[in-house]
Amino acid sequence: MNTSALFPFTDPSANDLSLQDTEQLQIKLWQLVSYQSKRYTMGDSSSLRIETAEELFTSICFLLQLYQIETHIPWQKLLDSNFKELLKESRSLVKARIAQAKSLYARTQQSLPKIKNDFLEDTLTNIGIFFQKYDIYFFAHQIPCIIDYPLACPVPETLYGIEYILQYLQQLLIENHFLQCFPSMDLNCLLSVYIPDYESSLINLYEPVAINAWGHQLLVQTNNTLNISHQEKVLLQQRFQHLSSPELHVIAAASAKKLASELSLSTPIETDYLQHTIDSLIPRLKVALNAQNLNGIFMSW
Amino acid sequence: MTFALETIKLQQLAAIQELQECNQFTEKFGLTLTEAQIQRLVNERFEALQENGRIEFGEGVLKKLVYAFCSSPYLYQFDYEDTIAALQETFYYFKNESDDRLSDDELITFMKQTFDGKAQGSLEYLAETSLEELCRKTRYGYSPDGGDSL
Repeated sequence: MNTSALFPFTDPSANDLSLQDTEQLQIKLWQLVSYQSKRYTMGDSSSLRIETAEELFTSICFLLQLYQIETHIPWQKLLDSNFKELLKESRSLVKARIAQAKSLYARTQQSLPKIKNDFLEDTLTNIGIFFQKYDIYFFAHQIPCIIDYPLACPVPETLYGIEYILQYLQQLLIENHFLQCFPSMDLNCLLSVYIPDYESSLINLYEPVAINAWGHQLLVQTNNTLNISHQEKVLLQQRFQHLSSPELHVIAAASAKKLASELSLSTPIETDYLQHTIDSLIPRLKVALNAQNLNGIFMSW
Repeated sequence: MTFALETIKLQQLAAIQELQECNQFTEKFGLTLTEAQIQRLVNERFEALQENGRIEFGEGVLKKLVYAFCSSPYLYQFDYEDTIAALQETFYYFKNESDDRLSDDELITFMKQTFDGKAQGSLEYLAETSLEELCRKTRYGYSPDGGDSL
């Protein structure tokens, strides 16, 4: 895990901190690591493995940064605070996020699509384990579970601990909600064409469905099926082959918005997610249009 | 980072002072450390920590080792410094080997019991036989209470 993103405040230039302020901050962080290490060993050991000390340090940075971002208090002001107290308050913020994540987790489990994917199931089971293993006192930046199932829009790697899980669950819920708009028979047919053993493959279920649904929207079809026939692919080819990438991006954004509206995806975040997914398809679509072969983009059965 | 160097300096000064205080206690066992020996031991502490990939906050383990081993019948003035240095290095090595499952006090107690018992003052026996076995068993859930009975 690359955790360098958690230490921007140790860089004086990043936060307009003077060299003196940075040194003061570093001394306070050192004292906090010392305090945390004593709590971690419960006084049984005067020394720690360097890796363990680094993890304790990273956890402190994660918690302090969370507090700073939430409160918008500049680091110069925070320097005068009692860091142990800040750590306590940061943990309260984390606890609130855990409660929020648990609620999202329950909703995600209830909104699972009526199609099976082993990796999706395993990941959800593992997120359940996350709540048991997550250690907000010493390793709040860690994600103590295995998350295999890939999302259409990956969660940024700059998120850690509960922040990552929250974001992951929010996106998964959006994807599940979208998949529920289509009959399971159609989903099954589409995904079987996309990859024959989709149930045990490490694939995202949302993306191929979103692309075919978008293709339908472009064809101005109102029927609820996801299938795009070969004749329809020819129509799409004729319609888009002379368009430039920026033009395709504009069309993609508008039609994705329409699709979201047709599917009654009520929240702006769901529309944005769909737009972003479609938008990231454009480079691939452009290549396929140039090759006059849309078979790898839209699925037919 | 400057502050890290300053912290190390402070830790070194504290360690020197601790060992100087130890001399008052160990004198009655005929064991004392000169200023130069103390300085060397403290330097070796940081080397041992670095070599074993460990970091220490606050009081080091040297003082505890001196207090625990000064009453050993196998510790003599002529090799006092060398033995403490070797024990210090052994200590950090086996803290790692035991996966940190042994507390400082448990490990020192075991080392002392074995050093005075089965090992009869042999550092090689202590490190290569008894401690290896202890750490192997500790990793599999053994309680260190058995001490010298290994």
